[in-house]
Amino acid sequence: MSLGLPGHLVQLTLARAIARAAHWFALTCLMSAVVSVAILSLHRSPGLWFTIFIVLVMGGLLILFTRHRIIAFAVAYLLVGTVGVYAFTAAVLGEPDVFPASNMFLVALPKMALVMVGGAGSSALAGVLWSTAAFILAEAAAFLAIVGTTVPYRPDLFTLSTYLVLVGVMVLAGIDRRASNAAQPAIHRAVQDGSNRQLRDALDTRAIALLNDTTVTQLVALSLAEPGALSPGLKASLQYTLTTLHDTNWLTDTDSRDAPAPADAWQSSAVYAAIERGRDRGLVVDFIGDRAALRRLDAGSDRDVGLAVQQCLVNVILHAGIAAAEVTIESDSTTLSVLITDAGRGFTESESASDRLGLRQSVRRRIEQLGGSVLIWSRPGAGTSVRLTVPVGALHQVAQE
Amino acid sequence: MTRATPTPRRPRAPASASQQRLDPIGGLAAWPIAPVVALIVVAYAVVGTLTRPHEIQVPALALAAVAALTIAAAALVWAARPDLAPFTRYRAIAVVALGATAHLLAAASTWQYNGMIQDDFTSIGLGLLLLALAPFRPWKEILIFGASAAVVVGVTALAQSPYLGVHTPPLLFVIIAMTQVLAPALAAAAFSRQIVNSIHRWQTDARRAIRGRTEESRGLLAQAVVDHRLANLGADVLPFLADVLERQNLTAVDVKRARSLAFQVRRVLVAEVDHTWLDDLIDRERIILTERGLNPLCVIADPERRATGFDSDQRAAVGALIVALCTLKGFDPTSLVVQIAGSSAAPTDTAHTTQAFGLKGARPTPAPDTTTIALVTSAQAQAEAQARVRASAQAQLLAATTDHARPAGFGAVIDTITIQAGISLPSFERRRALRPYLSVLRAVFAGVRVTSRHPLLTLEFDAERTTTKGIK
Repeated sequence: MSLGLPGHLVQLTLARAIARAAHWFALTCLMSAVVSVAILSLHRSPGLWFTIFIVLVMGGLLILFTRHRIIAFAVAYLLVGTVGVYAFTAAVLGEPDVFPASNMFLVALPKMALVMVGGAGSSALAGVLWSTAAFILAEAAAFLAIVGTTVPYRPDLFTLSTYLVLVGVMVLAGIDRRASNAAQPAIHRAVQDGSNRQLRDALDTRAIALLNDTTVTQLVALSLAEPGALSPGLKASLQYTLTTLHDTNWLTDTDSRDAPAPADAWQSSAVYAAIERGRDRGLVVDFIGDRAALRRLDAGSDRDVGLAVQQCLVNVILHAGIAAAEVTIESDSTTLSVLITDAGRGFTESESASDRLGLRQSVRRRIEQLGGSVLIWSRPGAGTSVRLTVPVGALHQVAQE
Repeated sequence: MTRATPTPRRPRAPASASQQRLDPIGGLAAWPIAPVVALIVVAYAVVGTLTRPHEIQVPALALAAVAALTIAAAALVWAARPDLAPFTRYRAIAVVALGATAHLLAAASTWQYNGMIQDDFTSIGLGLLLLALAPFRPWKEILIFGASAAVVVGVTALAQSPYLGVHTPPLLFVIIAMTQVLAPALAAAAFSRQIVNSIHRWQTDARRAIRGRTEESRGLLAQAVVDHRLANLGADVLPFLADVLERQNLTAVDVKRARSLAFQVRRVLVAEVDHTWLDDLIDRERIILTERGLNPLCVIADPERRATGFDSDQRAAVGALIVALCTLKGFDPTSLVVQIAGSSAAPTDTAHTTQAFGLKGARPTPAPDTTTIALVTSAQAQAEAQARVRASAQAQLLAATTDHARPAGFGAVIDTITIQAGISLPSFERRRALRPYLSVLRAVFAGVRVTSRHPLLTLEFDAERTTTKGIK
């Protein structure tokens, strides 16, 4: 996927993600702290339960703050956390003869958790300020606690580096990608262009197919006719073409079929109309198969399948060198197939060039746009068979109608 | 009981998505985290080793540990490099495995003499390496890496606990060691999850908005298509048909004219059918360049219309790149060449099988010449059109036969796209201008290769079709 975040969302999104990361870092530290103190209190001094309690309260406040992002929770976390750091440091370092100095990773755990409050800042600057405040409070509380123990004070590099890394990340995210700002709108525009072009292509495909069905077919029919009075079939189809192109919005009209009574379903289908039009032009069309299955096509599919069948019959008239064709309809639970067969001259693929537009645009693309497929069998001298397969609604839906 | 229609749930981001995959430009911006982390890891490893000489029992192992961690850091920087994007799972495994190896080597080098677990530079280094994976890998994967690494450091800590200088319950050492790895790993996983969800939410909304905008323009587009088509039909066709219908009579002149018009219209339509989105795009750029007073010469070589097999993301990425190239300072308007080639079948049409077809009771009819329509008006024009059409049909047939052994729909079909343009800009400026577009290209295409021989820039990349594009 190429549609990245636009400039105005970058800062906010990054800030949220950093906040989430900081909270999980802090929660991990607090969990470790709680488990560590629990282990210590089980093994050595049972009086550490207050420390466990206060670290748990810190964790609770952190979760509340993560969920609600209210400043009051942040302040509460900071204050309770400072007390927690003091209690935790005093309790852990108060263990006689265990820790050689104050700079223990264990002691740093609640401090690192406290520093992470800055990750939730609304901006990089606010985050740095919150973190700095937390760092100072944590170090001060720890110092006071250490002074009260016998353990010598050593600067705590763990908390300091955590603080510096967090500040670094926030600052980096704050001065994010000035250089890439122009590219993101360009990508967005390209996606929109692509979407428009796709719709235009779909409309164009339909338009070319319709023009081929109507205008080109008509012109070819005229070019093949004998001079003299127009035959009734030719007259009718000329009339149909001109009415279609002039009087209707031929591209967007969906020729919606008013739900036909089951008995007329066959007569009102576009496939029937296509066969009738072929018969008007002198083709003998035999029809076999499940007529009722056509009812399972919706209005749009019916129209397109009809036009594709019409084009196949026109191809028979123009190229097969035979005046008879057979149309067979088959259906199963999910698809409907129309097979148009003639015993005419047939063709090989390389010879089909002149016929390409009709087959490609009026038949294949049209059916493919319905999610269907087209298979053509042909061999010179052995006839041609075209199978159009389209997906249709399930049987029971039709039964309910 | 009636219930309100439930609001559709927002589709969840795929579990395998990362910031770099979903938002390549954002991933590009996040890339500096890798070298910064690598630098910290290596510096800390060196300092950590030099300040504890008394603990090191096997200097060779200590050296190997620093070396392994340095290689891990280098691997991280290499794997995260924007020009080698995307950061694959195997690269991440390599980085974490090298880090874990360094940890084991360091533990072995100080075996029985390690004073404290907390200043083991390798566990913190491992944690930092995991932290740096945040923009590049999906959160579940980071979590698994973090858990595995935590187990390794936890077990090593437990094994070392009898010999440590501090005497506390052994479990405490395990917790300390594991926290050093788990805290940054969980932070990275949380970052990855949050940012992927945010980007995915935005993308879902943006796509809906784009679809909406497109639908709004449907009427206008349809009108434009109708106008364009009717204009292409020429002012002659419809009046001619109307005239014939009115006269109810056909003359020999009419028949001749019908032939001529049919040929013309068909020729125009065939040319239009061969048009792809890429042609449209280049046409538009050509117009824009001409409007800028330039004399553009843009060449597209896509005889098999392979461009039609691209999905919308791939189209957008290529479109944005071409537009960016054309608007770049120093772009030579006569130099743009876009070529699409591939070894397998072209995507355009459904399988067209030419084979023996037996029809019951059907007698093949010999073809009388009179029924063959000959739409000849200008012999030369027709020969030209036919030759073009035949060449294309033969190319398709060739492609179909060469791919005969492999049924369509199985295996990957690879199209290779080559874009060439002359851009007289200093290479660093050119790189900087094109970097975001290339990062997007790398997210949707495979094997993006950029070669430059000043001022000619060549971009090559592969598109995989038919198989679903998985996120590696």
